[in-house]
Amino acid sequence: MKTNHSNNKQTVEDLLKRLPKIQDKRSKQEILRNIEKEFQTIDDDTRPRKRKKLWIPVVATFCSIIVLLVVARSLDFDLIQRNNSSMDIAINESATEREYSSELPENDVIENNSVANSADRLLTDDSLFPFKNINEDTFSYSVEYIQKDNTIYTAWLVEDLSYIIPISLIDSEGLVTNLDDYYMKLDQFVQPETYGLRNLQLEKLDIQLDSAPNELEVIFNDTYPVTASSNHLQSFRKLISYMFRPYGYEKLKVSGNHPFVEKLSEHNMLSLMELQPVAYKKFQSSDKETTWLIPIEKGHISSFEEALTEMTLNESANEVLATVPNDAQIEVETKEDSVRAMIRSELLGNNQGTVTMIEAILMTAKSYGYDKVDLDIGYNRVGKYDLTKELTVPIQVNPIPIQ
Amino acid sequence: MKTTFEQLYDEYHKDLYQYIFYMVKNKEQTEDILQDVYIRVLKSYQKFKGNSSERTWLFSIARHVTFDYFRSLKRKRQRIKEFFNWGAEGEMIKANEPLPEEVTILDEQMKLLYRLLDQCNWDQKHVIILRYLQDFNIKETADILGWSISKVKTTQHRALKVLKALMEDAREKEDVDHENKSF
Repeated sequence: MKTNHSNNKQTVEDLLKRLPKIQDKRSKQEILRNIEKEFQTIDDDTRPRKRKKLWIPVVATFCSIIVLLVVARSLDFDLIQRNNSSMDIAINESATEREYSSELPENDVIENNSVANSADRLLTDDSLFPFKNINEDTFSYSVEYIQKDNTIYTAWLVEDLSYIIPISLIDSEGLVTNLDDYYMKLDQFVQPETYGLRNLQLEKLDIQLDSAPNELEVIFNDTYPVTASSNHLQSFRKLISYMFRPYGYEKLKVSGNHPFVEKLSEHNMLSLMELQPVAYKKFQSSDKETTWLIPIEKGHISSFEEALTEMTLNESANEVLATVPNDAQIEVETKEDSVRAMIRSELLGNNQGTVTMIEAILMTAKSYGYDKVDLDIGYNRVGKYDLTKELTVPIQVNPIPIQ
Repeated sequence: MKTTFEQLYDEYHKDLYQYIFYMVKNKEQTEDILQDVYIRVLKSYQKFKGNSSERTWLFSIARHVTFDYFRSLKRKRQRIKEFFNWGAEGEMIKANEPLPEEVTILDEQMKLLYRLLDQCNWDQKHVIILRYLQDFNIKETADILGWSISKVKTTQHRALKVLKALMEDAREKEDVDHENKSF
């Protein structure tokens, strides 16, 4: 005899199959006309403009030369020459040819880039130190492609800063049976003090996943030691959003006898923040040995290309550094579900800096909704990444395996 | 182009329309999105390598276009919400679209299910629509969504569980309302 439970589930499935077909009232010809109109608009936008009368550009050029001569007289020539000689980097305009070979001599580890003058100045920047070698043997990777079911998503605050670092705990052995338990012992998997991280002591909360369908619940008891300051409230909401949005949760139910409950939510329900597109930079932990990829939100960035440009800049906080060399020339072309990025810099090579850059670009592309990235940086292979093919965006960032 | 379009239309238009409509629940948006889908398909049709079935490929493109459209719409709503400082109230605002004719003629239980689909999250809706309204099997659904088979199964299971619980809640509430009215 079927149980009531299976009867109800079967009923829902039957009902779903009976949902009606919704008709498109338009005719085929109407749709085709609209599409043809759209193609016509695209063609008009890309058609070369009509040639203007020849005398206009000639006169314009002549006037420009006059203006330039006047302006040039007022400039300091010595200053221009000094700057140009130190930043003299040739850029290959071809988007299809891979000029550099990855077939470098295996044992030939070159200590410094051969572009002496320009590199010396650039290497005073901490963010560029990992680019110092042209060819390295071993690398540290900050992303993973392991089956998502084995992932426990966590997030951590950077000490004294308002940034969040997402860290994925990987349970490759399939030990994860009850996710709730893991969130109660997070500090056992990540040593926050070592890395200068904190998480508002979430392990002291009672976190319940699926306490009701699709519902996440956090129960605060009155001994929870974190004060309900506005700073903590905002950080809490960010942490919870980063941790539980990847599972598909959109709302959080809060309960318990603590000021957090009243100040955090309306009618005990809190909407999780949507994870916005970000630019990934790197955070160097206080032990200086570990680098985490860190998502940076900037309101002025409105495209993936702008995000890549942002990634060439260090943050004002000393520990948050650029992931793309600051001399990089960047071009981006977007496709349906993938994006093509061409990056040129003398500092790129088979080195840790370039590996981290690739991973930061992949994670940034993922935040913009892309599934694949076609990366042209002038090398066929860097570390484990085969750049002759499109790279799939990672599943996990900052992975830590659970032992 | 016309021949290719006509072939695609004859074979896939109804299914694509159905899929996109159930994701966005708005006819005008569905028409806009579907037009974008056709344009993208027609532009890249020659490059289709046949690694997946044509139908899977088309639905995969439709998924991306719908996602992009929905994301840009959400961003616009977010900006409007912030501008007007709607806060929590703004988050509760959903587009109260009128029911399409095909749904208005259904019984109350079906209408309820139609509305409750919006309570599922984006991933769950995808699986429900592809599996139950479009009759894709698990492997095809995984290919369209770019997921593992186990993720499709898990998401489907959770989606059905959510819908079942929501329908039971709605029925209980209706019973309580009915009892109160009879007093």
